[in-house]
Parts: sequence; structure tokens; C-alpha cells
Amino acid sequence: MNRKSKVLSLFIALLTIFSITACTADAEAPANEPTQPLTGVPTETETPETYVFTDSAGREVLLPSNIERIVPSGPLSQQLLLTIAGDLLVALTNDLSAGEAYYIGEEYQALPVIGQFFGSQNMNMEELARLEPQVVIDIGEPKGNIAEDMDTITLQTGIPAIFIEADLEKSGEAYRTLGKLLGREEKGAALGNYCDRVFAGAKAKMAEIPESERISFAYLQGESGLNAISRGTYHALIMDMLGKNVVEVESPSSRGSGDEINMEQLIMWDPEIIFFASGSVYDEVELDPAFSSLSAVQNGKYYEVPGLPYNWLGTPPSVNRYIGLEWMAQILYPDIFTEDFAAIAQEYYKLFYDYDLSSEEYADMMANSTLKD
Amino acid sequence: MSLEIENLHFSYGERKVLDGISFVLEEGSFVCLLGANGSGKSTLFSCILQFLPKYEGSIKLNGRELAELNTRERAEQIAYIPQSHIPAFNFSCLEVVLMATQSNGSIFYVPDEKAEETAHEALSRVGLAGFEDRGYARISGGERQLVLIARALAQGSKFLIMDEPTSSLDYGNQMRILSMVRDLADEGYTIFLSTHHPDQALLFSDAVILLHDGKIMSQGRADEVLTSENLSLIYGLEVELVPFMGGKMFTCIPAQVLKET
Amino acid sequence: MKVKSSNNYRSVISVLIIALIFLLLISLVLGRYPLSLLEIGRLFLSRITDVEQTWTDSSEAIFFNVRLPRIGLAALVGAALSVSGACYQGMFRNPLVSSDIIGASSGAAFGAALGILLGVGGGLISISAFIFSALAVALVYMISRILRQNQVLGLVLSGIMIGSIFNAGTSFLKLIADPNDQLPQITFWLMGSLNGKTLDELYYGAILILIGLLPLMGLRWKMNLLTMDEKEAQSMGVAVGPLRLIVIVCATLLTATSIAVSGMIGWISLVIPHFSRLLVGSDFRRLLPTSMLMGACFLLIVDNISRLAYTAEIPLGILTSLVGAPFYLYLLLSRRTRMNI
Repeated sequence: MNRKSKVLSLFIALLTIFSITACTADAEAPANEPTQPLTGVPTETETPETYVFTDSAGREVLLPSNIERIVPSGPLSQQLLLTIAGDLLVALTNDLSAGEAYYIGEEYQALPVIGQFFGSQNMNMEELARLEPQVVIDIGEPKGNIAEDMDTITLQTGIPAIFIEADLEKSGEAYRTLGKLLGREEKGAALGNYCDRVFAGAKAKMAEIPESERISFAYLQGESGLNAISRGTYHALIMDMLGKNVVEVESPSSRGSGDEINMEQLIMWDPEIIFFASGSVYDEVELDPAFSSLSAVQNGKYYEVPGLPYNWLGTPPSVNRYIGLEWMAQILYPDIFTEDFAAIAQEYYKLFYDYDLSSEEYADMMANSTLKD
Repeated sequence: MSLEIENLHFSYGERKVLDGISFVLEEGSFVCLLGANGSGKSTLFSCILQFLPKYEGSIKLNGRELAELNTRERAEQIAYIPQSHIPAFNFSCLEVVLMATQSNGSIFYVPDEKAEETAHEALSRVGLAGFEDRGYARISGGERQLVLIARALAQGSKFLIMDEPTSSLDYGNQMRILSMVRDLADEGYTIFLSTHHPDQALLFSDAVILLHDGKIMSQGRADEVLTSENLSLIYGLEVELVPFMGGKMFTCIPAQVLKET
Repeated sequence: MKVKSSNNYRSVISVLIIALIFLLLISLVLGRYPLSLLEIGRLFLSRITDVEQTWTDSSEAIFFNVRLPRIGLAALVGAALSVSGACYQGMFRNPLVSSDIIGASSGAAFGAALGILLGVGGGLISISAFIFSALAVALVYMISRILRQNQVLGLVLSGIMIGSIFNAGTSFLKLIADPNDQLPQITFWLMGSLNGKTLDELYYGAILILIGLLPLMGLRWKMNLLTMDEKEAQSMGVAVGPLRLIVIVCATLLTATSIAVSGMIGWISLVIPHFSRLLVGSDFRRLLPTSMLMGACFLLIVDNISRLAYTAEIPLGILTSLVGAPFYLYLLLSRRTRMNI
């Protein structure tokens, strides 16, 4: 009996010690100000090497003036940071796809992959701290707890974390902010202005096309070619801007994989143009009896969306959509959007990925779409 | 320590299982309960032990209505010895016997030295000294039954109810168990034991209660109750009571076998 | 065949305690982020008295807000799951039972998926998991009362029923979740992880687990009685109903807290009690402390592998399955086990 009591008491003692340390840790944290403040009121005044940055969530964060080591918070941030300041990255959150490695740079594959903070939430905080980045950057649309989440990163690792808002309309602003933040003002301005210009231009031109003259289309993906992105959903953003999305379902899903429709519905809607995602049924539709009954297929007005390094129309819903905007607009309204698309593509790939797109590569990429007709 | 049952009735739904049972078990006696399958033996035990509390009639132990006692008080008065079974976990024999010692303890009871002594003594009493650390699941059926008897002894009650303890045992073990029970009765324990073998009752018991269709067909001394007519009626088989040892003892043999011999 | 003696028990417990202390210390030192034992010592001291700061702020943040909660929780959850597994095995008189038999895991999974789908913060997800876990078990218990003659069978049957209802609910939630964000989060949560756990979670987890553990430790001898047939137990004066209820409540508290904090980590509640039984026998007086210590050591080891093997994390449920399933097979097949169970 004595032995057991001793065992139990020892175990409980250990647990108690832990708990006490935990309690006092919590209680004393505010009194024990670290030299670098986590968030909120800075205890130190700005020095020539640091300054106070206000992020898109309104948080004031003390950052070094000269930033040389950054880490993204997840795949969207990673994608964007690679376009403006890839050389400053000390880690990736997700492995690079073959397409990304090819177009953006194989040297990035050498970076350690530490997992992402949101989504699967498997970011290795210790690894993050060990790499000693100067700031963790989250870019995208604001989630409900974004301020708390950023604070948590800093609480757990001591590294400042900031949130930069970026969506279709605000990517331009985001790029300019990042440019100033990371000492890439020129590049940031170039990228930002590109985004603004394309978006504003498309919007303006579309404003002049009345509803009745908008072309009807459907966007299909999946192995059967029957997963469609419905009108009004998040992933249909740029598509809905440009054309009449025939796919309307009762409760559309906001998922990237879209809604499953059946062939009868598609035949009923009979869109003028059909876009297929890469990896779907583009190659088979002419031989498929059901698909070939659609007028778009019969008229040859169906196209495959280019997908390297990212799907041009979305998924991921990021800056890859700008070239998609221009591309889809030209396909739908070739008389109104008349710029030389080859030049547009080359400019985009050079600006965003620092890649010189050769004419053969361009021909390859566009074989199933722009160069078809 | 006498058990008095008066006008006991019990039905499972529509089916009447016990129909007006009345008898008295005297202290210090070894009483066998016999009857065909389905005659109500198990039901009678379940009523006494309050597993089936919704009976009509009176069951008194030492003048106190058993239904009015709480679980603990009842455990002090009566011990139940089921048929030995293969358990899910391999406790030691000592551990099994110790289980009965908690009847007076609190909810956080852990056996103390006194309880361990009681358990050791109980095991010795049934002839299993040295079996303390052996696994209960690993010993023979007869030994397991003895452990269960030891457990009942450790419980401290003087009234034991045994439900067909010899059913799955070989002949040697059957006799050993019954002899042990006989000795306990001689020491003052009151034992109520159900069995399917008239011979066991004839050899060892002080009295017999014969159940038929939920009623007591007969009760009294074994050789008076277990007549050919009664047994033939109960078991649906012609049997003869054959005397031996100069008419002092009887054994039960099917009439068919006698004719052929 | 002799059952294990008490000397054996003493040595087993001593070894386990030493192992646990050793593992705790080692785990505190190990990690992707380099921290020496000396630094750790100073960090601990700094919370109690004044010590000159010789470490970076990242070190302090990592130690107190990442590593310490994680290791503390690994030990606590490992202990909690093993003990609850042992209790359920005793209560259902079946050594092949795990703590999911009365729906605690299914309810928790549903609660967590619901929280993730609704987009609430981490703390609320855990609370949701906990609430639904308790709800599931409460439902199971109430339904089981219908089968009054055989309560144990009633618990198993209603456990299967309620468990499958909640499982269906979880599948449905996974179906409508956003595959870019919510679905991976749900999937990863369901595979079990101690990543990103805060001091708060360690604190609450420790309290709840202690509340569940202490009564069970006090009742552990009485749990031997629960393994017997109800009528036998009753005839020996045991109030089986209330005893069983207390055990269910405490064991479920342990299970629900563990799942709420760390997601679904399988195999511990099934295998660790088995292994403990091999070492010290079936008597719950010895089985519970042994399971507790062994479970804590086991999950500490597994969690260390999870966070140290690669830069990205390996989910705990996967690792415990990889270790647990072959080991379980070995247990079933080995002669020693077949003689001992």
C-alpha cells in the first residue's frame, strides 16, 4: 500500500509542478515583457532599425526596416510572395508542384517545407522559430479570428506576424504594400499596377457590354466533366464578371470542386462556349455522344483552361486569375478585347514568374484554346 | 437462521411460474431443491435473492422480510454461489475470494489485512490453501467451484444458496463438492442447493423440496419425498428406488434398465 | 500458472516511473528548435525567481508556449486514454473493447467537425468536441436503461447505434466542407495532433483529466467487482448501478477531454491496458496505475516521433496505428498472451 501511495503522490506531484509552472507562466507573461513586443503597445520606441507597421487587421507590429527573411502562412501567401520576393523566403508551407518548380524556379525546392498555419494546421512552430525569419506574412481574405491567429503565431514563436488583405480588387494595393515592406518598391509597384490595370480595364469594358450581349458559358471540371462552378459562387468570380454562367443550382457549393450536374441539365442550358479545366474531358468530348450533342462542341467552341503553373481561372483564387481574366475575355469577346495575347502572356510570365515564355511554349500552352480558332 | 417462505407467487407476464410456494428451511440443514427443467427452481432462487423483486408472498430470513433489507444487509445474511464459469479476466484465486469481503466497506474500500486473513482462511477451509496466486481462469472446474464456495464463506453469511454447483463437474469433483457442503452444514451453515440428481440428494441431504409445475409436490426427508411415483411423474420416466446397505440407503435407477438386467 | 506477485509489481512501477521522468526530461530538450538542458533549467527558474535572461525571446516563447504544453498534454492524454480503455474493458467484461464503444469518440469527432465548419476558433472547437462527446455517451446511457435485464448489452447496442448516427453526421459535414480549407482541417483533426497546443489547453486538460482520474484511482479495487456478472455482484452487496455510472462518467470525462484536446488518437485505449495486464495481471489495483504510466510514456514517445522525424508533422493517429496494430496482432498470437488472458 505504501509503495502505491508514493507512486501516486509522485505522479500527482509532477503533474502539479507542471500545472503550477503553467499557471505562473500565464499569470506572469504580461509582467515579463520580452524585448520585442508581441502585439499591441510597443514598449520600446522605434529605433532606426525598426518601425511600427500597421497590417490590414489594424494591428501595430514592430518590424525591422530591412527585412531579409520571411515565411508565408499558407499556400496563398506562398504563391504571392514567390512572385514578388521569392529570394527572401526561408521556408515554404507547401511543396512546389512540378509546374511551379518549372516556371517559378527549381531553386525553391531546396527550402524546408514546414506546413501551413490554417487549413490542415500542421505548421511546425519549432522549425519556424529555428529558421529565425523576421516576419510571418499572411495574405488573402480576412477570416474572423485573423488578429488572434496572428497573435498566436507570435505568442508561440516570438516572431512578428502580419496580415495583408488581398482579393481580386485589392491585390494591387497588397502588392504595393508588400513592395514597401520588403524593399521591393519597384517590383511591387509593377505587379500592383498590372493587377489594377487589368481589373479596371476588364471592368470598364464589360460595363459597356449590355447584359443581352454577354456570351453564355459553362466551366466544367472533373473526370466526368460534369463538375461545374455555379453562378454566384466564390470561385466563379472572374467568370461571372465576363459572361453569363449558365450553371445555376439551388444551393451552390462554395467548394473548389464545384457542384455535380447531370448531362440533361447541361443540354438544356446549352451554353455557347464551354471551358474545361485541365485534367478533365477536353480530349474526349468530340467522340462522346452526349457531349457532342452540345452546340458548343459542335461549333468547336470549347476550350481547355491553361493550368501551368496555376489554373488561370481560379483554384487557387489568387493573382493567377489576372491573366485568366484577359484570356477568357478575349475568347468570349474577341472583337472587344483585341490585344495581342501572346504579348500579354509573355509580359505576365516575365513579370510574375520571371520566366521568358518562348513561342513554342506559348503555342503549346494555347493549343487548346486561343490558338485553336 | 431459518428461511420461511409463505404463499410465494411469481409470473413472467402471463405465464405463472411459482404458484403458492410455502416451506421452511431449518437452521443448519442441507436442503436440496429438485425439479424438472422449467419447474421453477431458478426462479425460486431469484426471488429469494431479490433478483426478481416483484413477487407476491413473503420471504423471511430469521423473521425479517428479505425484501425490506438493502443490498448490503442482505449480503450479510445470504451468499449466492453460482455455477462456476470462465471469467473474462484472469484474477488470482485470492482476489476472487477477496471480492466478497467488501460487503461492509465504503465506496473507496480496498481490502485490508483482516480481509486478506479472512480470504486465506476461506481458501484453506475448502482445501485450496496454496492456490492464492493461481489464476482463477486456469484451474479446473471443480477447483473453481470450490473457490466460489470459499468466496461465499469469506462473505460471512451463514445462509448459502447454490445453483446447480455440480452440473459441469466430473464425478470426483461432484462428490468432493457435495462432501464439503455436507461438512459446512454440520458446522451450522444452512444450505439450499439445487440439483438434477436424485442420488445426490439421497446421499447427502437433510431434506428435499420437490418442485413440479411451480408447486411443491412434496417436501421432507429425501427417502420419503423421492419415491418412484414422484420421480417418475417429475422426470417423465419410470424409475425405481432400489434399497442397499440393508435398506438404509436408496439409489435411483430407471425401470427400463432394471428390467433388462 | 501463477499470477504475478507483488514484488514484480513494485519493480514494474518503479521502472515505469523512472522511464516517465526520463522521457519527460528528454522530450523537453528535444525539438526542432535548439534548446539546451541548461537553458531549460534557467527558463523554469525564471518563473519562480529572478534570473538573468540569457536566452532569446523566441526560445522562451517556444519553450513555454509550444514545447511544454505539448509534452505535458502528451503525458496526460496518454495516461487518460489508457485508463479509460482499461475501465471500459472491465465494465464490459471484454478485453477487446476500446474507449469508443459507447460513442465518446464518434460524438467528439462530430462536435469538432461542426466547430470547424462553423468557423469558430480553436478553443471553441475543443469545447464543441467535448460537449458532443458527453452528449453521445449520455444518450447511450439513457437508451441502455431500456434493457434493464442486461445493462451491459444495452450499453453496447445503444453505443453502436448512437456511434453510427454521429459518424454519419461527421461524414455529412465532411461532404459539405470546403475542400481547400475546412476539409483538410477536419481530416487532420481526426487523425490526431498535439501541434499548436497552448498553455491554456494544458491547464484545462490537466484539471479535467485529474478530475476524471482521481475517483477512478480511488475506486480501482471496486472495479474488479464490476467485471463480474451483475447478479453475483449484487448478491455480494455491491450497488452495481451507481458504481457503473461513476466509472462511465469518469472514463468518459477522460476520453472526451483527450479527444477535445488532441483529436482522435486510436489504439492506446485498446493496447496499453493489454500490455499492462501482461506485466501485472488483471487486478485493477495494479492495472490502473500501470496503464496510466505506460500510456503516458507511450504517447510521449509517439509524439516525439511525430514532431521530430520530419519538418512537417506526422499525425498521431497514424503513428499509433502503425505501432499499435502490429503489436496487437503480436499480442493475440503470442502464446504467453493466450495463457494469460
